[in-house]
Amino acid sequence: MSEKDTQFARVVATHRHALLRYALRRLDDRSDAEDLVAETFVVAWRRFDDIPPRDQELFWLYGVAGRVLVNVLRGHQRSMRLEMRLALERERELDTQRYNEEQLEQLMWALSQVKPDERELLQLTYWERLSYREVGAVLGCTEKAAGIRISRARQHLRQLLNDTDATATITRLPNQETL
Amino acid sequence: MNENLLRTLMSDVDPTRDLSDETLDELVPLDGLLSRVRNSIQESLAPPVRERASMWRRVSFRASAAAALILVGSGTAAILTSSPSVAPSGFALGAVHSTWVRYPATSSVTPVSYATSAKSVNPALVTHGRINERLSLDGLTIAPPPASVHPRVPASQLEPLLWATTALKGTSPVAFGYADITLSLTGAGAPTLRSVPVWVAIATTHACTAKNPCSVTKLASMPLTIVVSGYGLPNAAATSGTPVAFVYQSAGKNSTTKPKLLAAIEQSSVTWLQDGPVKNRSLSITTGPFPCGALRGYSLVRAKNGSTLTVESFTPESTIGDNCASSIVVHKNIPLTTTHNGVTRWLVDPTASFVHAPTGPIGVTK
Repeated sequence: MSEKDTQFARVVATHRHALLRYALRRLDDRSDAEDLVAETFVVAWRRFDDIPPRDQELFWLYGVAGRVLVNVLRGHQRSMRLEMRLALERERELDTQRYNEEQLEQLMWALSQVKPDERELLQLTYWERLSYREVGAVLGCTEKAAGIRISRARQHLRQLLNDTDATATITRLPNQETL
Repeated sequence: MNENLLRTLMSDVDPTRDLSDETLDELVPLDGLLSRVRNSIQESLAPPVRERASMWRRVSFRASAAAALILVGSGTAAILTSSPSVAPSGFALGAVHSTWVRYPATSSVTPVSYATSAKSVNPALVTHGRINERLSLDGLTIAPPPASVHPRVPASQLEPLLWATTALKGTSPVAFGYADITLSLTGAGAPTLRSVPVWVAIATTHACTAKNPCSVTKLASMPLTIVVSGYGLPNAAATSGTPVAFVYQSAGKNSTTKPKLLAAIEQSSVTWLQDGPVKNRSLSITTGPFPCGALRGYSLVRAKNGSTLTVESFTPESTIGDNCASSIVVHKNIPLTTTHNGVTRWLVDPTASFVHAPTGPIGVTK
């Protein structure tokens, strides 16, 4: 096995979980998600010399995955209805509920209304939990530029949410619960 | 809506919220992923002979039909090709993996009914559960299996599952038996199967009756829509194998309309046994047997008399991929708690009994 093969296998082994989560968050069909991950790694192989240092690899791969997602799987976006229902089922089991169905509906509606690139920024922030600097690495822009774009996306989302709900609050849960 | 609430909501609707790395590895094993990527790279490096769909793409074969012969097959596989039209989606070439994901209660839907027996319709085609005559169709040949080859999973288990295939709705059963199939459809990305021992269920939209039997000769020459579907199984002699599962539809041999392949996606509620009391906040069960790599997941529902556990097997939509182990009995741990924001909660009452859900085919909710 060549050095390239070895390094590539390491890249796949290291980042497959994160990429699969990325794909599963955006695509309904598990097979499509597998396809996205595989295609992303195929692109990574072709552009092996472009892969950045290890601490930046994942963000570079997110960028590749994002382009594969847009180019190959357009129109196959995930329906969030199931996740909404599951979230509500879990929430209803809590003693103190933090949100209600209406608020969840509002969020889903607002997410559907923002531009696709804004939605991707929000997902990278809230789901992949990337910092401004890391989002910048994904997008190939500076941390400052990424921060501005994320702030605009958040602002746009909040505007949409505030159109329908200005009163929601969050209730903190107790830190520990006896089973 | 403040930032905390927004963050909470987004976290709660994260589709991968409850997926551990272990689960992801079951969904997409590293070896399989590496193998697929390498194959794809090699394909892209090879000189193109003709246009071919990506290994990752689904391929289906379009056809119109007047009548329908339905054929359901499963078994170990190899690969080939022939001449139908091809469109994206429908037929997956990929590994079949065992998943173990908790599904919401509503994923267990009402069991579907199925034809119970086709023996009386065309007894001549099947002897002792094995296809005994050669049936040559457009791109598909069904032949008697070698005497030395025996199915690993009994007919009693598979027959109801195959007849419950969604694509068979509205059709009349013709035959069910163990057979060797050869699939030779030329087309981009179409698989080729050579003498693959499988279970097959054959049906038609024509009314096959005692007075008007669907003989082998008649079946082969009729204008037919043919569907092939199945459950991947290694044969009895194999210690490992690659599963095959698909639906084949054809307008009939020599028809100007090309045959079509569809994905076989079926679900079934299967039996399970509880392995002792709840330990470590988990319920241990033994489940199966079911086809190789076809475990889908489970749902756990609170009920008045305890908690109802449904274990679902899943007919893979893919047919040819990585080898899968021949073991068909599975031991699983079901976590009974969930932790969120540092708070751990029981999903169900661990002291209550776990009730078995009804078994049998269930409708596909996809």
